[in-house]
Amino acid sequence: MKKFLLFFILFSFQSWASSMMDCPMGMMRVWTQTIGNQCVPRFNSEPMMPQGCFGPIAPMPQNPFSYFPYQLYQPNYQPWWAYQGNMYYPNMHYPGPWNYPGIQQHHYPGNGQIFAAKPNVYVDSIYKNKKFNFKFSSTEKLSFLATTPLLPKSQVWSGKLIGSDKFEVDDIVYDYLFYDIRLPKEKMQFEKGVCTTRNEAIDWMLKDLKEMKFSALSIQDFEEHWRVKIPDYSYYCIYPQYNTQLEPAIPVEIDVDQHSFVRALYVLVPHKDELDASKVVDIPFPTQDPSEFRPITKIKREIEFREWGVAFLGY
Amino acid sequence: MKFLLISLLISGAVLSAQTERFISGKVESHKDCSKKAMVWLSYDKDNYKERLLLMHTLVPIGGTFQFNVKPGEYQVRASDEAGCEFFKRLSVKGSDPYLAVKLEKK
Repeated sequence: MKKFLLFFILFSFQSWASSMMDCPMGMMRVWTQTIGNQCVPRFNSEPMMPQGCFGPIAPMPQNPFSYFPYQLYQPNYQPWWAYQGNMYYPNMHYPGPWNYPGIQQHHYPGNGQIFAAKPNVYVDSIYKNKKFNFKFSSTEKLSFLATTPLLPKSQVWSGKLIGSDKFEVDDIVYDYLFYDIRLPKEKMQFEKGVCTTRNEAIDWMLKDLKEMKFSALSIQDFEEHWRVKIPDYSYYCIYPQYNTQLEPAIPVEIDVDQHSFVRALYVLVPHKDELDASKVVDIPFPTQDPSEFRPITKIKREIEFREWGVAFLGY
Repeated sequence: MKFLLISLLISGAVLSAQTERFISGKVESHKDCSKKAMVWLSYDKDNYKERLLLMHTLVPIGGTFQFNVKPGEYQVRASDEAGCEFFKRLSVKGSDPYLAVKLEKK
């Protein structure tokens, strides 16, 4: 009886295993109660336009995943807001409405071909309770796209520095001050930079921020945001804009004694194909090492403001 | 009287023809919600593929935000890590709306 039972169990497993189908390369096996086993294409990591986010799995009528955005199945860790954003927006993994190689600028007001997304301003202060005014002092009209907190018409954020690394504005504590802005391309530099793969470009920017002594929190914010929002193209050229470029483009006055303000904005230009120096490109490949032009951060000040941002070109 | 009417009409036309408007607001939430919320701005479209995300900003509760937009139809959505949500459709034309973004547990 025992032998029979054992044989039956083994045979059951054998027949179950033989009924499992093998899927060809690029396909994966899925099972549902109504359809049973079937092969569907694996998640496709090829870059896609927002309107193509459903990718190659959409046309298959029996695919159980066909009504879900494919980004939900990305295996990498994503912050909570990225999961939520994927549920509602087709271009969550782009910095805005996108058409390679840049942002579709007609969706936004203002002027300027450079879309600086999320310059975040952080502070590191030896004082735990000090008043500050952070003023955008340009005489020309600036093309802001978003701010947090709300920026009054005077273009000044006023408040207190709290607990050494936070801002208090209108009695609310902010980890950083944030703005999106359009900038004229003519005020940016495109000679100094590096070109590399997407992942290495992110690593390069993180290393650059570390070199300029950005706080661990600010670097963590950078990585969390930009691993999600930099579109999935194979290669990127990074053109860093430091104080030399940003002070004339977005002049800022901070009325706090003994302070410094280190600024870095990385203009990213994506490339679908391997970089070929002989190819004609819209933005020339960089020819100089940008690290030599980094702001000097060796002298420690009582209050240090630092700003990072990433920008893309608009078309 | 006629002059007043004409000038009112002209100023109204100028206002509606402005290419830049502002959506601003303050984020508030229920005690069961998180301390920060993501505020999302997109076009007001029911179709997922057309609901393009324009901007988003992480705002602490009690904090304020501003979006500069072209006149048009928009959705403002806010959500947080605890599953609290806010949703509002907006037609931004002749005025600059100020929103009380009140997140509630769903």
